[in-house]
Amino acid sequence: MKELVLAGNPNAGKTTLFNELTGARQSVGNWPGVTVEKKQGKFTYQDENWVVTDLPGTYSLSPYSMEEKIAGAYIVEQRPEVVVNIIDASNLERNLYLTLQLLELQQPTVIAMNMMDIVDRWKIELDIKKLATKLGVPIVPISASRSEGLEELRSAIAEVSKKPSLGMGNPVTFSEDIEATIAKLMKEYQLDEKESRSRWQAIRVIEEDLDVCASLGVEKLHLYDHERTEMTHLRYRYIHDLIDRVMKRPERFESMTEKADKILMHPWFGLPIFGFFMYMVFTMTFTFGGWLAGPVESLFGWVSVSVDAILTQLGVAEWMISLLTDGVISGVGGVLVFLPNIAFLFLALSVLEDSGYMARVAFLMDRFMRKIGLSGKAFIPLLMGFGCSVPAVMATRSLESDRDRKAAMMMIPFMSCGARMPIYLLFASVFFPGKEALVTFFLYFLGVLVAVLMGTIFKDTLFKGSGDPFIMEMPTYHIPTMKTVGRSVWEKVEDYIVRAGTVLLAASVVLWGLLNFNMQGMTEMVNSFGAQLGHMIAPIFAPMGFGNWESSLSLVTGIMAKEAIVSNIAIIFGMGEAAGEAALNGNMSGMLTGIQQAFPLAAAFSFLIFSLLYTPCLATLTVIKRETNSWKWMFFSAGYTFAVAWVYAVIGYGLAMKFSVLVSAAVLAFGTMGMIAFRTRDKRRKEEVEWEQL
Amino acid sequence: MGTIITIGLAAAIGWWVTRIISRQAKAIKEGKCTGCSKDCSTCGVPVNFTE
Repeated sequence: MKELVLAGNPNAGKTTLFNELTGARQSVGNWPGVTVEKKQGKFTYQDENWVVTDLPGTYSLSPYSMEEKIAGAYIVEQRPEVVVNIIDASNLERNLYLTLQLLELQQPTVIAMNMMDIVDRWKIELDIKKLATKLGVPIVPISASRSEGLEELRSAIAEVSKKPSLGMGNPVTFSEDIEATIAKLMKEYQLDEKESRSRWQAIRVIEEDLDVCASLGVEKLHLYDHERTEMTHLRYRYIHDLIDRVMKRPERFESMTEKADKILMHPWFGLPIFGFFMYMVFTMTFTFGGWLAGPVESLFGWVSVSVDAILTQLGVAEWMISLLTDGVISGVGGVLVFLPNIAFLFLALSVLEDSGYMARVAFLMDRFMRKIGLSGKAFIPLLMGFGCSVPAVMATRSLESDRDRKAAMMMIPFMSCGARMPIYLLFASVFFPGKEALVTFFLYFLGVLVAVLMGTIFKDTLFKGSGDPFIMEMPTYHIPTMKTVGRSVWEKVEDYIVRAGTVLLAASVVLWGLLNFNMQGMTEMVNSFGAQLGHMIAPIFAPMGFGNWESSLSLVTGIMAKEAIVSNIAIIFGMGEAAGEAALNGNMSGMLTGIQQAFPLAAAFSFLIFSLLYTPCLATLTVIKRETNSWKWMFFSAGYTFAVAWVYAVIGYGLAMKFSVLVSAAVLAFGTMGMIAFRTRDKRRKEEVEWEQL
Repeated sequence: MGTIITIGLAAAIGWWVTRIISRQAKAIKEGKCTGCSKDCSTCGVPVNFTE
């Protein structure tokens, strides 16, 4: 089997090309750094089997970061048949630096010139034939996201693999002095001139790759500082000359991206615009999702009534019918009813991400994050937390400092994950009709604010220190492709359905058992194990206005999975007396009546706040334990989030009892913002005092 | 007839719930997302290249 390695700058489209070549379904993110690990896939072309390795995105092969070191070493050690260097044609100057370093490795190379559609749109004239002649390697123009040029690319790969000399390229010839140094080093360390990696090793000694230096037994460092600087300078000069010869840009050109960024990245209006987009996302989620939710609800109602009728006719035991209709169908159906809303939410978020906008939000937040002592890079895992906290916690691996990682991990549970959405959908539609989007927006916003507030506290106490510098390339805006967005939405929808059929189904069966049995056997719900447990813990929640056993029990089971709160509410209130006739008729209105009776408006508001902020689900806690390798941080995360949620929900309840919910929400949000402002100002002052003392 | 269907349904639900709980326990032990059989990288989770 032949090996092909994909190398290129971050966000050049490597993962998209990888998926296109191999038919894999790796996640594609329109922000740099999606691929930090090595991924492998396979494809067959002209009866030849290929294994494709997708390397992490790097700007160069200089030995300054782990990814860069590994990418270079992998190619040299594995010696793949072909290296495909994917280049973002709309940013040629920066991409070519890596290309020149890849050519220095002297491995057969093919260049895939991606994003040619953007180059055409910008009316840039690029002479690809001339560029290919100058670099000495085949160049194939492609558009990976539109599947254009892939057949030509496969053909070029096959050709180069058969005749490697076609792709060996023309590496940069350095100045006489540097070439002499390279030759001297090759001689000194007995590197075989005929061996392609020898020259690369000599260059790595000049560039002070500590691993290569150690393997060759180099004893003294800093001998070639001048040569090292000169080499970088020469490579850039070569790139400038090359671009002058092969590219013609229109005069005084301002791209759409630059125009859009003047507004979307504005220092003052950028974040309010992001807020407006998110508000529109929630409006769409409720409006469009609501249209489809009705038929889904009717479907489950019909299923429930039909199952009841058929099983009764077959003489199945009453308790089994109750388990299936009140337990399984109510529990699973109560969550699946919101599937259309969830699908629309992820559709909107995927469009924002694939368009290139979400990467800018991380940049907009950088200023904010740096004020609290965290890198803007830490906001990317927090953004991922809008989907699911588990991958978000794992995404903190991209943060260099352990301190930043732990701080981000402690902040992530406050970001409103997709599993909490059904709770908002249920409660907002029951208690705040017409204002569902506003309520959901408030909850998402409050989650971010509380996370940031906790960040300011942690950076002054548990994780002292300043944030690492954050460098992030902004991707060009583009119209999201149906394929990328469709794949992303399907993955989320599939995950939601699988969870409903597995975790939530199991939770529903267990809860049904808890609600129908006690030590004496089968019993009324009010005397069940569930009711006893709920009564025991209800006093904890009483100050928040919902000290009834039903909601208390739901919140406890919600630690298993957040959607389980809705499942449990559907089962408990669907089985309760308040359900009455409506529930028997097979629709959800009985359950909704039950909820309305159990929660005063202020209590519903505090229940939403508590659900947003309290202890993360079991899966998140487990991942925190694994990532920190410490039980201490897992228990700390579980405990402190519960305490924060309790305080916020009690304050929210108190406010909502006196004022309208809208005023209470505003007070909570502005109060939190005020605390953040106070803490950051206080921190700045301390820093100024320390500076003066120095 | 009714009794046989009841026993059959009870066995099927029992088997399914036991299977889910044991799989969840295994996933939690391995530090994977619960209910997710996919490789973590499909969610774009960075994994150390050298692992």
